[in-house]
Amino acid sequence: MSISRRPPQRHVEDVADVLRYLSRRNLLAGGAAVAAGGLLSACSGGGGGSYSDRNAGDKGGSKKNTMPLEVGKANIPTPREQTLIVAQTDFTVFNNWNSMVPNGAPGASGFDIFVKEYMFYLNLATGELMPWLCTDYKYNDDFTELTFHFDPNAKWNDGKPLTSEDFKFTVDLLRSRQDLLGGGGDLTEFTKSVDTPDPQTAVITMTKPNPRFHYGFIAVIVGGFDIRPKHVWEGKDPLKFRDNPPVRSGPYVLDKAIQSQKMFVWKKNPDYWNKAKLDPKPEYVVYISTAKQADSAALAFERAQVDVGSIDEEHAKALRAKGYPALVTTQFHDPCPRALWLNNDPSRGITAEPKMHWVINYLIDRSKDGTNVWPVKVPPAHYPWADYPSNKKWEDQEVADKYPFTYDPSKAEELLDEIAPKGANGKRMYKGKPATIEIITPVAVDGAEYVMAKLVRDQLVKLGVDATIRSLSGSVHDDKWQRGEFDISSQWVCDVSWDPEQLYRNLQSDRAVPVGKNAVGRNNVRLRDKRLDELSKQLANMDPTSNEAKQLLAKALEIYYEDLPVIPIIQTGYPQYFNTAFWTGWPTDNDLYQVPLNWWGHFMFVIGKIQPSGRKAPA
Amino acid sequence: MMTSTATIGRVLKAPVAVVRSSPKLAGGLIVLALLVLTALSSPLVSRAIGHGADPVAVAAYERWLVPSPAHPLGTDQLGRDVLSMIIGSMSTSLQIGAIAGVISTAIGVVVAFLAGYLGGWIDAVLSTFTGILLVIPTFPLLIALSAYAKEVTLFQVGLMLSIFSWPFAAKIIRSQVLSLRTRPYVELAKVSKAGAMEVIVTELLPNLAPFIGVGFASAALGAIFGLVGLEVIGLGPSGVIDLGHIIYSAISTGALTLGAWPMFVVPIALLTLLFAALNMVNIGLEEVYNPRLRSER
Amino acid sequence: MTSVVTTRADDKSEPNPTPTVRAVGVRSVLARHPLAAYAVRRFGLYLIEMWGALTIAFFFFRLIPGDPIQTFIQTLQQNYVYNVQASAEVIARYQHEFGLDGNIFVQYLHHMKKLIIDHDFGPSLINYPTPAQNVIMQSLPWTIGLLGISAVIAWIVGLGAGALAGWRRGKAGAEVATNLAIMLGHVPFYFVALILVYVFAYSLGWLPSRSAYDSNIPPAFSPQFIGSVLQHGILPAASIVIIGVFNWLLSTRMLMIPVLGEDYLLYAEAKGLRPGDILTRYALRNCYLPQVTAFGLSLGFIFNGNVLVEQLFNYPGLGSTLVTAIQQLDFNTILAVTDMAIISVLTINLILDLLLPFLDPRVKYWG
Repeated sequence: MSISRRPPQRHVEDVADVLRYLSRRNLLAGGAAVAAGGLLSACSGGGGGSYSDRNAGDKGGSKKNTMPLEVGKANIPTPREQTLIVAQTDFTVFNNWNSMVPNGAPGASGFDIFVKEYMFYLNLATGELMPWLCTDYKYNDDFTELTFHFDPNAKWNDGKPLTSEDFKFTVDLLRSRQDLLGGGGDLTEFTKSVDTPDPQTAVITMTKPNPRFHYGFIAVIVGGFDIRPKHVWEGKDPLKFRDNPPVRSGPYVLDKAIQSQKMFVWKKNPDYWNKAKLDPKPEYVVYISTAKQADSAALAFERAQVDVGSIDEEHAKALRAKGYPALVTTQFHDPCPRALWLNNDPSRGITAEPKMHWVINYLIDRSKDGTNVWPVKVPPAHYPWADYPSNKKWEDQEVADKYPFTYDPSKAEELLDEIAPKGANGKRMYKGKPATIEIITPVAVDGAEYVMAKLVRDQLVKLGVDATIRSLSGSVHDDKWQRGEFDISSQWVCDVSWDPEQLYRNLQSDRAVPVGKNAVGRNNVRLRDKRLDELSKQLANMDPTSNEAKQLLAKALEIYYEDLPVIPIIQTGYPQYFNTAFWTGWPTDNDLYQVPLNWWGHFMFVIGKIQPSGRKAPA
Repeated sequence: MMTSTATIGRVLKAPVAVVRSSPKLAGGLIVLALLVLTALSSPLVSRAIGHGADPVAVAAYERWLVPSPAHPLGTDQLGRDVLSMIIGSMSTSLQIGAIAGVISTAIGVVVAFLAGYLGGWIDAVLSTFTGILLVIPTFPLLIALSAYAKEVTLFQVGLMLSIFSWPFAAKIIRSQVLSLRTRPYVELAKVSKAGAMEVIVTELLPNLAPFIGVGFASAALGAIFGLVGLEVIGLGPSGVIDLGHIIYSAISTGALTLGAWPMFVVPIALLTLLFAALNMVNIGLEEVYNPRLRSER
Repeated sequence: MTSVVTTRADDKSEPNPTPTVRAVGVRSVLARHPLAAYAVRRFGLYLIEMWGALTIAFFFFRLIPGDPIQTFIQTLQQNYVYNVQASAEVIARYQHEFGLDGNIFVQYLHHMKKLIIDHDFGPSLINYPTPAQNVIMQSLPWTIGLLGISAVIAWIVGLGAGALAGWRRGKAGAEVATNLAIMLGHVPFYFVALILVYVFAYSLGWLPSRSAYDSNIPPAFSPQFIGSVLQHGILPAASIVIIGVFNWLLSTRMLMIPVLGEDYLLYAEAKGLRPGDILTRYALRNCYLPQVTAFGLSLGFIFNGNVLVEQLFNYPGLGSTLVTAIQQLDFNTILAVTDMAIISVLTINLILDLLLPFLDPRVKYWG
């Protein structure tokens, strides 16, 4: 089950929606260029080599750190040596920090990162749960009461203390106003009342038992629960109040928002409450929109006018080949592995047949996808969740071994002959009709998800199934996705952030609506499996780490593998680029101490760890 | 009653003389012809480079290859051969321009005739309407139209553009219709019991032909202008790859800083040539009908 | 004895003059003041054009298939993934806020009323709930500056160059300039912008490639700020000016040439006036008037090109706002920018047309 975590937190795919507006997803996600280097089809024609090879001098060798660093003057209103510059998306809002209205607070602007603070952080890179605004949480025995203890030192950036009163105010506001973004949802469904016996304690009494209620208050993906200061928000209209400048508890405050430069300037709060644990070195942090032309953006990185981002994989490769000395590339797996969702509604023909799901599974060449199709090398995914340390406990080797994921077209053909044998005319027939499969994807024709689906489609056609693939633009795809008007959708699976039951709950039969009706994001593949429903209902009230739950989860995983409503393909690796000209100490592949994504709340700790390099900026 | 061959001969005699008399016009037409020929050679080029395979399929070759004998202009971010892509898309650009030009000219001729011949309040309304479309900045409207025209065919793109480029043709033709309407030979033709259609075809059209030509060139120019403008900022209609799209790819993938300048420079040069050619045709035709404008002593 | 009141004029007239009846009424007033009649007619045309253009713009955006507002509503629905109930309320609310309830004609009337009476385009989406007109007010000065200055400079320089090219017809320099203008006159602004950016910003690094000014300098009327604005504005302005000059050169030359054969020029030459004086005081004076009208007519086209130039230079003007609004499907802001551009262009044309009679007494604009 998932609490209404999406609206207040900017889920990575929501930010991606923002980014997609500019088709700049490439720039921040690390490369749209896919074209599996010549291995996907006939001979390459050879001769000449690629542009980055040419820069390297000889193929294969690259000059390490020999390129002289030409630092350009950065267009910022603060001293360069004291400023961290992050290049982000196109900002359009500069005077509103109210995330309860559409396009209220600007996303990925720094506000969600080091101005807002969260009660707990789950460091997905290490698996560590870090208490922050709170010191701990506790359930009562039957999971009907959840108690939070707040750090007594916590303070707002205007000096007032942060107490459980603020928490109660925020929860009451959100659960009573269904017309607010982030309002209603699980907060309304499960909260009976919030009590504050003392300024450091808040007790939520629930309407029914829910051992997962705490998920919504912990920052896992992008952000977490945003506590608003009662003394600022009380009496204001939550639909109109702008909260400008924003009052939160974080180590930085708003210095200025410059609309004509598309820039936010944040300065350090000298009165920060948790200096003992977090005292960042940058006096200022600037979040600025990336230049829309890739040349301009790459040059900005090359000239160290930006510290984080603003470059894509192709240009980073070129820089590495030239021996650029200040580039650090760090990989991080996105919470959502790439996956194929298969429609289970009987009206969709052969795709609804569970054995067909395994046919398709055998046609997926995960090693090729992970090596040649995805811009960086990534491992295959056997489970429908990311391979974080915190997710290791859900892996079940026993069950997984019973259902190996291999690339085996001959086995696929065998299975296919069972379900849909070739008819007299040479075409495969399923239940009297020709077997056809319609694949859709929301990414463009050069996107990895498209190419991976196309490879599967080509295999299907080879086996005699009439398969088509279409790339549809965001809203068009979403329309078909919600209405179930597809056979396969090549995208990603994001349901599991805490435990697998979140996925199973989404696939319950009572959430399956007929094809043609809007599913509103629930059970888009219309799976109707009574066994899974049973298990999911039982798991809903259990602590997922208990032994009881473990057994049920194993059974559920088996059923999942039998049905395969969603087939995970590869882990999603996005490289992040850091420039070490002015700041060092970034998380690296060898030392991934924290999530390196600059639009996640966790990035605050990265900023807390970086050190100035000592370089002086040009005048 | 004239025989049809004689009529055709008469109709054709004028244009040929016109072309011969203006070096600018001739020059423009020659360049256009060259561009069309290059575009038509696209299948040959594809065969020569692809050796049977399709050189512009996604991932046909390695991406970002430098220019070499096998790939005279290198490959792009998806591993497509740039030269065949450019020549193929030039054909697309020319076709779109032609379609938009033809439709615009057709609409323009109809509007111009209705307005010029019939006069009165019809003329007032149509002229005001044409005037509005010419004066106001129509680019936002074009952007909006194309933003919702995804997955369109070439013909639909041409149709879409002609919605905004027909006023160019209409204005030019109408002014000429107005002046021709009162010419003596039209009156004479009327007196000689020739029907309205015959008057139009035998008397007006030959004299209008150059202006229809100018109208066509202006409309085609305006249409391609608008289309490339849309594509360069990434708001062009998808489903159709033409020169503007290649330029946009070059900008958005940062081809220049990667060193892949052919992908950027060649489409711009070709489009510049196309625009220059269309312009020369326009100006050449205007000089023919205004001899004082010619650059001779 | 009769006392007759006479005026001086009456002395000459008959002993019992019939008082002339001065007819009253708008028509006759206008008949007696042809200039006023022209102004009134032109203003009436302006109103009609304005109404027509605004209506076209409105219906255009609404009637395109794939209604942008539906998409926004869908995005809203996505945000309410776990809360279908609320989404219905919220959607109804936003439909009302954005003026989308009722059928299209009701929406049209509602929009026009708000526009004309309240000067309100409704709330924007990219900066909700700031009204759209406030959103574009921020970018408006930059576009007026860039576009206005570029257009005027291009016009002045182009006019002069064209006059010279026509005056010196047949000489090498003029012919080269003319042919260059013909070849390059129809190159789009953004091609020039791309090349300029690459040469001057990326390769040579002499001029900045984005932004309107250096954020180190606080916006004020100080020499540093103005200098920074100019420095950042050179490349975008140059893109517009270069092509503009070519086009004005050609059109002025075409106007100049017929004038060259006129008798009064021969007379001036015979009088012994210097060629330069003849050019400016006689020839140019007689061919610049159509260019004044043409300037007004070209503004729409320049705005079109300006949108792209701003995009390419990340210049914070109306063009960038427009593109952002379109990408986010912010209907109200798109309409606000379009309408603002339409109104500006039509108004400037009106002003120029009304100025014409004062600039050129020869021409009859009436009758």
